Amino acid sequence: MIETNNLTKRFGGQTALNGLTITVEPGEIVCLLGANGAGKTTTLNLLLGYLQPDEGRAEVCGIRPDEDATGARRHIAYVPEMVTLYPNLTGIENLTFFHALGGGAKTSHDELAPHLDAAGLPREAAGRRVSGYSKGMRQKVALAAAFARQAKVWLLDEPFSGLDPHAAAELSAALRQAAQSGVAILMASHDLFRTRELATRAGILREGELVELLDPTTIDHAGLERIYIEHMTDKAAA
Amino acid sequence: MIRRIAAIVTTDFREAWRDRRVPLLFALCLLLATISAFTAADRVTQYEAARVQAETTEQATWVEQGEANPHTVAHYGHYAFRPMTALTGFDRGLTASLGSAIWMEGHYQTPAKNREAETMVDAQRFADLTPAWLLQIVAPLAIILIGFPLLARERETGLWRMLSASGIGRGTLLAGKTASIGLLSLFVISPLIVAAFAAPLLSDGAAYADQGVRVFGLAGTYLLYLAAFGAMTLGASALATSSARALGIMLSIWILAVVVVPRLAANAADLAAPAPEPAKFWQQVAEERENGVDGHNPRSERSQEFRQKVLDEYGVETVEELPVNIVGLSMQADEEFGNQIYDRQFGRLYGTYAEQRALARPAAFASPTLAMRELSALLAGSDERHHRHFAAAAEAHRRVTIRLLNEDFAYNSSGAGFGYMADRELWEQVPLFSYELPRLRDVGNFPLGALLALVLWIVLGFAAAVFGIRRWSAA
Repeated sequence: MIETNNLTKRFGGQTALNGLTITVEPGEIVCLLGANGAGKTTTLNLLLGYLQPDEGRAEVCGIRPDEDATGARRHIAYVPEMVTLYPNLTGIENLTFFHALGGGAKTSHDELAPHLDAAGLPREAAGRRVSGYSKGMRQKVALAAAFARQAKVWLLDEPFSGLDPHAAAELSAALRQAAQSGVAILMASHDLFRTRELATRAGILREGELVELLDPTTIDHAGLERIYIEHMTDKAAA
Repeated sequence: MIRRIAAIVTTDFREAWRDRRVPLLFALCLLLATISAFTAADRVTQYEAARVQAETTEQATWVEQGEANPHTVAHYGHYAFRPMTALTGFDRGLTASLGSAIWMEGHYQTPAKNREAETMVDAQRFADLTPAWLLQIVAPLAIILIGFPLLARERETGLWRMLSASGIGRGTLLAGKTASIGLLSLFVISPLIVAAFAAPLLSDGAAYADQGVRVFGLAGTYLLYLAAFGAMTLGASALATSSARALGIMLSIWILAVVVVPRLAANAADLAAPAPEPAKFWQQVAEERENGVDGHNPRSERSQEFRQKVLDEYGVETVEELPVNIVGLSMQADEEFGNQIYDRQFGRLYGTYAEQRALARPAAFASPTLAMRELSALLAGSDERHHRHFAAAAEAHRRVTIRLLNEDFAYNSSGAGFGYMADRELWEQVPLFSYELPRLRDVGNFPLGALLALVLWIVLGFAAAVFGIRRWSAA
């Protein structure tokens, strides 16, 4: 579903991503961990076709985003850290809009509402204007759009950032449900706890390089935290 | 693609409706349009009723004036009233300043009187609420207020990243936003469009023979004009980094287009090709009539020369031997001499106006409003060229009338001199002034430059939108 091979991106003299090689198969949830500027968001931007790689290649469902960004995006559902929606539209209206933009079949509000349920947004809230939504509620609308699109690949950028524990738990449940349905999920995160809980694999990025790729299910939270801090400390020492 | 565009339009409409821009602007347009349509139609209807009544009175007074000396009658004079057309209800252009009634009297070619501008209050001078004024000034402002955030908001809030990730391309987004600004604007200014059609229909104004062409032309040119503002608004919205900046850019353009450039262009044209002061103009006319065009042909000498010419023509020695009244012939000769001077002086004056128009025309490329104003007044028949057509018809009628009176005096008074009295039989020979409204082709060339300026503004606006949106980055 997602495949990168020696993916490299430089900004001027600065290497933001250096030779990333990783795959995400259907049903997998792969988390990219790392400090700010480690290359997590750059990876997502390369997969979305927002940036052109300087070396290497990326593929989404067999399509190279650097050659056919629109084609690649048709298979992607993207949830940024800060989900921006139309503030004067209701949640369900925003969902309908993004569903239509994504090329989804003409669908009524009633037909789309279950996707909001799946994302954890209460029906009562779905009828209210988004201007009154919390960050978590906006994120749920974006997740509902991802469910509605039936995208094969989900890219999430810091999805747990700023969420309260309840909202974070709901998001975890939604992502797990998506993965079980065969979606390949790649997300950038700082949240070791949620990574340990959700991810089938976790990659640690440092200064653009993938320094560790591990199976978090084989270690406990403390172990994951220790490995992560070791890599970050190495960075500080370096 | 169509579904995506429809989704964008629906979303933009909901956003603009719910942030109250659409309902407020629609209500404002509805209010202005209602006032405008009824006042414009009423003005035309009232004028036409007054004109018909005045013409009837003039005709009755003329025919029923009883016995009188033809030359006295020539000085009595009467008015030629310009019919107010239904389209003048839409755009009265320069009619308020140029006047609508011409006094026709022997010896004198006078400019039109009954100028509404003289009795206007200050508020009317600033904002003459005709449907054309609303479409030229208010509609672009409404389009700007509707359209300024359409693209800038997507960029500044990060919505573009969301939209782009959904699989929508820049071309589709621009097509959607073009449809949005078009349909939203159409909805908001629809009362102004209805008023534009209603004002002429509600009035009792006269119709041109080529009314259909004019209405079609007005609809087409206004469509281009409003599209130019729509395209520029999209361009500013795509180029600006925030909605506030897009609004600032467009309000600046609006002020420049509506107020600054037309004013500067008019002043510059007046400086480059100044029209004579009225007092100086009439002084020159009077001097030329008295002393001849070159100043070396005084009236007294002309009179002597003419007297001798008539005596030679009839082969007699003295005026008393003439079978005609030489006073009548002299007056007609003097009239014709004066006509040459009027033709020359007014020709020069109109030439100056034409020169001013030509000088101001390039400014249309800096102000679509200036271009639209010229096109609208021309198509509505309320520009200076249509006024000149009427003035020329009135003057031709004046000359025919005076010639009939002078010749009657010359050939029928046979020695009675100013004691000669003509009667109804002569008055009825004088044709009534009947003004035939011109076709567009009768008043001169179509200002293609103004049309081109509007097209260029549209192209410029869309080019800015395409250029702006291509620079957007979602990363």
